[in-house]
Amino acid sequence: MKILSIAWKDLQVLLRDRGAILELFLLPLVFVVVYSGAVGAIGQGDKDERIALKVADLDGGADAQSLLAGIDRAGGVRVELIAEAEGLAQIDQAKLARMLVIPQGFSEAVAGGRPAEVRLVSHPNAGPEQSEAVRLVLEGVVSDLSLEAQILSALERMGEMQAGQPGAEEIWTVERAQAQARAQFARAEGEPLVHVAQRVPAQAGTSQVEVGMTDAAVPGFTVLFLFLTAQAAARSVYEEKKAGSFRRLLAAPVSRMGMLLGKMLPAFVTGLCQAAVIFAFGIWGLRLLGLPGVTLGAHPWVTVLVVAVVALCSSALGILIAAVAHTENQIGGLSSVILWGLGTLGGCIIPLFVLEPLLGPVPKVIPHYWANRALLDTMVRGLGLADVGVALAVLAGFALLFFAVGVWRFDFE
Amino acid sequence: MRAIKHALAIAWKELQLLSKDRGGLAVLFLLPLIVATTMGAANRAGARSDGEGILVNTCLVNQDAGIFGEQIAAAVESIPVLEVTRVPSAAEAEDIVARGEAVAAIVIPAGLSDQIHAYTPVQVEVIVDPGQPDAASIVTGIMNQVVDQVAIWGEVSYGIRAMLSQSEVLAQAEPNTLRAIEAQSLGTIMATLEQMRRTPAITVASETDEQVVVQGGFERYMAFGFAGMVVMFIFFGVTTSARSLRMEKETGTLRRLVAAPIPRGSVIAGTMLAYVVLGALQTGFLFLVGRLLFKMSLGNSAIGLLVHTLALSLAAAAMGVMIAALARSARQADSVALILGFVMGGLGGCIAMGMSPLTRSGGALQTLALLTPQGHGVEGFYRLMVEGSSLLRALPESAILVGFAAVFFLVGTWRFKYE
Amino acid sequence: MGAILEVDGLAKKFGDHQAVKGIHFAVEEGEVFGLLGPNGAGKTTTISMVTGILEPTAGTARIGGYDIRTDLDKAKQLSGLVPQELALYQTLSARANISFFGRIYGLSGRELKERVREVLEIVALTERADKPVETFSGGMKRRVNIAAGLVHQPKLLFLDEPTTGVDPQSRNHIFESVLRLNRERGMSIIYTSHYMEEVELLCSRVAIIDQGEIVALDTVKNLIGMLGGGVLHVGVPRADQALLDGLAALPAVESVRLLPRPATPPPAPGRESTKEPALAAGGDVVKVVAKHSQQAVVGTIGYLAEHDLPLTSLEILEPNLESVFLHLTGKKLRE
Repeated sequence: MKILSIAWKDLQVLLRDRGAILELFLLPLVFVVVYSGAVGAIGQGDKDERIALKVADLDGGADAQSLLAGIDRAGGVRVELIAEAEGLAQIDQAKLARMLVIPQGFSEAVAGGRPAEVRLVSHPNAGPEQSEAVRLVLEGVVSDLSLEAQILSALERMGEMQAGQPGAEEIWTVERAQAQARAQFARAEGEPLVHVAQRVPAQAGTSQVEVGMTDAAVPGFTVLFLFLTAQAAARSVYEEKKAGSFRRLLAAPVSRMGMLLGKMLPAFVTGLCQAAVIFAFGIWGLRLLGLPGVTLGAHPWVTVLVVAVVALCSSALGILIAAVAHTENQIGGLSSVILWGLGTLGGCIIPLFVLEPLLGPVPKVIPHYWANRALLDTMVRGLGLADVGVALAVLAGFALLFFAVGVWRFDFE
Repeated sequence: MRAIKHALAIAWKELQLLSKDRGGLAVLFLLPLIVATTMGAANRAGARSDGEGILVNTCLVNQDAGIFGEQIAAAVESIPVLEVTRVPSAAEAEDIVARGEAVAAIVIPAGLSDQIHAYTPVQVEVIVDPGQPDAASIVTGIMNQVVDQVAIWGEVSYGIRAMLSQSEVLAQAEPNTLRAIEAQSLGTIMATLEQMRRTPAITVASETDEQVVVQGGFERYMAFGFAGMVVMFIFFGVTTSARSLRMEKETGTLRRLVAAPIPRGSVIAGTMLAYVVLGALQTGFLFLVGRLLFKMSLGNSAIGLLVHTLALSLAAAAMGVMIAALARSARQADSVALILGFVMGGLGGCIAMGMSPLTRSGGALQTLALLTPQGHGVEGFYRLMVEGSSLLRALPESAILVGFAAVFFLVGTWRFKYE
Repeated sequence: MGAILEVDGLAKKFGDHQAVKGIHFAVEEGEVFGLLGPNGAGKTTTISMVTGILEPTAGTARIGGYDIRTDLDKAKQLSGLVPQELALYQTLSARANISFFGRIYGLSGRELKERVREVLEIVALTERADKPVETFSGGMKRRVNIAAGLVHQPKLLFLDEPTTGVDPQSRNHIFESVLRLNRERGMSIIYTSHYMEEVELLCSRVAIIDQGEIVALDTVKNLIGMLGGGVLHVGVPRADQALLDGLAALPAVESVRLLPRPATPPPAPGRESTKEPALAAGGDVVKVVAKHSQQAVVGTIGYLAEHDLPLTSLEILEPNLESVFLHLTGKKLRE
């Protein structure tokens, strides 16, 4: 069939264009790795990645010890003792990022139920993220200790209240109260009274409990780059017109629709290949890097169907761009801006829950939005054909619209 | 002197070419604007605490008949960021999340209050949508805090009962008396705990060693975000400069220039000059918009900003020369520059994902960021705009950028073939 | 009038390949000088060396007395280059292109404006001067190309294959411009081409260049004169010395030469060729340089008929430079 011949020829041309190959196939992978925040997770391994925290313990009391033990147990932070003066000097010289100071009288204050304070001294250039992480660990340990202290304090206050009651003295002694508090606290550590358990819906069909960063990133980038293929399609038409071979095709017994369909086909195939490469990388390549791989969801064939419809929509968009744009410049630059802009507003880069309050219903008129929803539904949420039906219909509608307008406005001369 | 005139003539020609390249201008000026303002607006929405910012769609199922369940529910509903809908059954809630219509479902199990009273551990489930991991983590984080409060209640009331039960005297008391004492105790404890929550037993005080002027949080973050965008897109200019230089070779205009009585170096110098100007324009434009739309902070040192911008643009311009020299065609130059732009932009931390530049994050990420010119670009702007530093503190970063420029330039001119 | 250009033993070697082999020639002031040769002969390389784009491996050249080895900039200022490819900035207007190159050659301000206006008139593009070059036809683009080389009023203009791929109307226009420049302004022009008609039409003297060497240098008239009254290629099955002598003795014939046969492999040992060697090898071709073309034809045919020798082919070469080239090198100008 003639359409196939046109398509085959175009694919051959594309395969020779190394630049296009790089942009279509390598770039999305770069995005998946670099921009989903995955880079930091690579190679974490078993090294002791704990942040070292120098501590000046000016108190030395029991509660100070509990605090230090708690920090060490919390994970993520490693305690190293140091003298206060030395620590401050090192911070001044920017040799040390931060230091914890437990003041004298700390344990006394805690035991006595009075407010106590520890100081976390940091250098202004210290990575705020690390400082924040350390602070969070400290706050966590401190609030646990506070919990213990609070329970204790509450019990003691009870004791004061009950002081006049018969038989009260024997119950509400400090030792009893402390013993009770400690016993409870120890138990709470192992098994908190009220615990938050996070999980994904059973429908998702996966056994993972944690939501991975790359999980949601891969569909978004796939959609973004699938739609960017429209540019390649438009460019191919433009090149053909410029080279004059378009004229030649027109003179041949090929219908105009046939020609445009013939131009859409290689774009469609390219889109499918692109998605295949991205998915292959997502499933296996990421694992090679030591990251959790993505899956095609509970119904892989539905995922493939969604990808096919998106690729169709994208190739139709390519025809539209080719019809409307008149110069190389417009195809290259302006359509880049539009496609990236649409991608951003359609939720490929910034999560939709952030965009929606800002943009309201606007994303819904963008094909990327529907493509994202559909892919997230099948790949990440494990939903089936029935659930993505609406999105698929909308995408198909877009494809039809783009093609129709493209054919109408196409300048065949 | 003549060499300067020639370089200027060539720079002017290059700027004329740029002005005709509408597509290129759109990518270099319009696109960063779109991305930066979208991210900026999104951040602003997140930073607002008046409930008109981000809304995380959440379901809530309270299967508990007691006070603790209601307390958790009320606490959750009072949080501005969460848009809570009560749902009758857990299955329905799970379904809603499975379809992605809500970010999370909080399921308070039946008998929660009873179990807390009985001091048996109980679990509150948060079912999250894997398709929206960022939002889901917000909900889980909030739940952890809410649940802690209830846990303290439970612990304390148990403690009281435990201690009361140890009293032989009270063991003989009437059940009603016992309960009265319990209730009275609980009331006291409630009040005490409220007070204690406001004055925690132990606090962590953070202080920094020096007195550094730090602007308000939001304006700070905006500056960081915009700076990252500027750096990223200045290096996208490399695609244009590299392609332009290669086109000169391919169309033969370079040959013409070499046949003219000008030093060969003027060609490269003139082209670089044009792109330094371009970079400065990009920066000026984006920062101006950021300032007007978001009242973004520009730091305290205009000179510092200017010097750093020029150093950054110089590094990008020199990189364009190097790629033009090493590439084998205009198309190749374009593609290579584009991919490098994305990779190094990401590694250098142009997309602000954390609170500070990647050059300070520690570990492998920091090393990678320090190896890219983008990383130093962002670090320099961070010091100037977010930390409000003087020219002197940002100068090392600018100097490193000039160093990059020198290396790129040397490689480029060494390998550039004029004929 | 002295020599505006003196080329003295100029040579260029690329790796192992000797592209230009030490050529000498001089161009007089006010002359239109042609460089004729097939693709790859070394024309563009020679021009590149003289205009300072390539560094010669040996030899030197002088433009207006300035040696390209020691006073390159001064030499460059006196010459203008119109390159083979359309070396223009397509998205800029014709005026912007020409102004740019003017600035590069040191023009500025009012003088620049005036010169730009002037050259636009010369190439008849004043009306479309401010439209982007990419909207021009091929011929118009060539005209802008020429204008850009003229703006600084060089004394010596290098026109490198200026009419390749150009429509007839523009071609004529280019010829007219070249002639006008030369006659009205006394501009010396070096015109390279592989189209002999143009060179014959425009140039006073022509250097024929092949494989990096000048094989002939003279006026067009004299070069064609090498062909005598004409050249015949006479194909016979086998030419022996008797035939050659006989043909040479004809009154209308100037000289006779047997053209070398294309190489043929010897018959395999032990296998005798059943055909006659001449036929097996494809026959001989005798080149006859005539005093008078027509009479030589008649005489040759008559001679062959007389001696009962079959005539397998007869080619009459036109008296033009193409034939001269063929005559000198045995190759065609255009492969």
